[in-house]
Amino acid sequence: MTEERIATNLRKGVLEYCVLALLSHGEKYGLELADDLTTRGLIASEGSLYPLLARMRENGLVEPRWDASGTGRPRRYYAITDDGTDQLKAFAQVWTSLAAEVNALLEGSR
Amino acid sequence: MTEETTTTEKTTMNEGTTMPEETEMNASIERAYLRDAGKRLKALTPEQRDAVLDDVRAHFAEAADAGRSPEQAAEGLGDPATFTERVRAELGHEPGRTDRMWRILQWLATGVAVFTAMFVTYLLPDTRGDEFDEPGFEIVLLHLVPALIAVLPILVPARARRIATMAAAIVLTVVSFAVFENMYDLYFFLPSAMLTWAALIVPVIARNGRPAAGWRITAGVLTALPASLALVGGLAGSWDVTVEVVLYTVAFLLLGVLIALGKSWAGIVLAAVGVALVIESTLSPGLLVLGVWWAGGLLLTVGVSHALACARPRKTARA
Repeated sequence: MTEERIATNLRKGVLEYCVLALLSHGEKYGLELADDLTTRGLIASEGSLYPLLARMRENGLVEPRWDASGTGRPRRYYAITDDGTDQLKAFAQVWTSLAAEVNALLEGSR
Repeated sequence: MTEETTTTEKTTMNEGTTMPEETEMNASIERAYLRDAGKRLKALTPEQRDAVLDDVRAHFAEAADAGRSPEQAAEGLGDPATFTERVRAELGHEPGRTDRMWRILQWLATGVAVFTAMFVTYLLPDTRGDEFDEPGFEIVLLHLVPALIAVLPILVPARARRIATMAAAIVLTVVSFAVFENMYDLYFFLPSAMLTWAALIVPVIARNGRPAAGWRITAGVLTALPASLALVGGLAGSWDVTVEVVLYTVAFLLLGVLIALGKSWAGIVLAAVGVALVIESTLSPGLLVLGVWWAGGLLLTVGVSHALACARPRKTARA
């Protein structure tokens, strides 16, 4: 129970950067993103992804576009923007140093 | 991540169901979801709402391509209430919005009740030419009871708030029409009752954004009501129909139309007119003092309620 609570709180803080990291490899449509995040245990269902995408879109971190080239109904692809890329770089730096500090502390406390 | 295989498995058709019927059923699940979600996202700007609904449309299409049924697609999103709650939370709306409406209206009801108490205790008997003695302490206290009733919902714990607001609205309405030992002055507390009813109703009808057209039209009609009644009174011969009366009526009708159209600033104008009417009737109470007072209270209530309910959503500040 405690583990789940800690994991939930940590995921909340990093989820949007995980989305940016996934999109930094190329654009993806909503369900593709959702499935990837669900498989990694970062979200429970698609219902958590679209609200997050709404905020990221509002803040100019991601950009959607319709793609009607396939056979079925048009898909909505999301791509990372320049601002999104900057945010991801900044996060990567913070995460690397933070993770190192936390790891060192945890090593020391064992 | 590897590109997901987009198998186009056909879902098993029920016996007796033809393909077009099934397609129609699938489309109706999606339409129902979009309609419900759209209604619940009215607090967002049209651009924000359209973008979220586009995500939902795309989700149903992508889920169908992946061989999932519309039921499964809807299940993945969660029920529309929860889904839209998450969207609003992410975009920095709620849950404080409706709470703020209630709080402002309830404090206003309390403030108006205190003002009314002062008016009926000190100013009214004086200007009416009653035999005026310094009012006794018990009279002052008695006149402050409605203010105590109005403030009560603010003081109770949050879980008892709605029931306390409802109780306060009922009690204030009854008190406003009650006559205790020739104390007709209690009629003046009706505006406090109106504001308390508004505190109960407005947060509910505006919880998903701008209230539905029916509510806005009702507010528009109430806006034009006092001026229209004045005009009718004039036409019936109770007083002269001056150019001023006609112009006021036309102005209120226009304001009523703007309110019905959902312009929030029209509510602020209306509330200011309401306050002006109440103050006017306080300073020079004539024969129609109660009528003007009630009209002022009504316009203040409708104006503030409308301005709060139709206020443009705040843009998110979260980055």
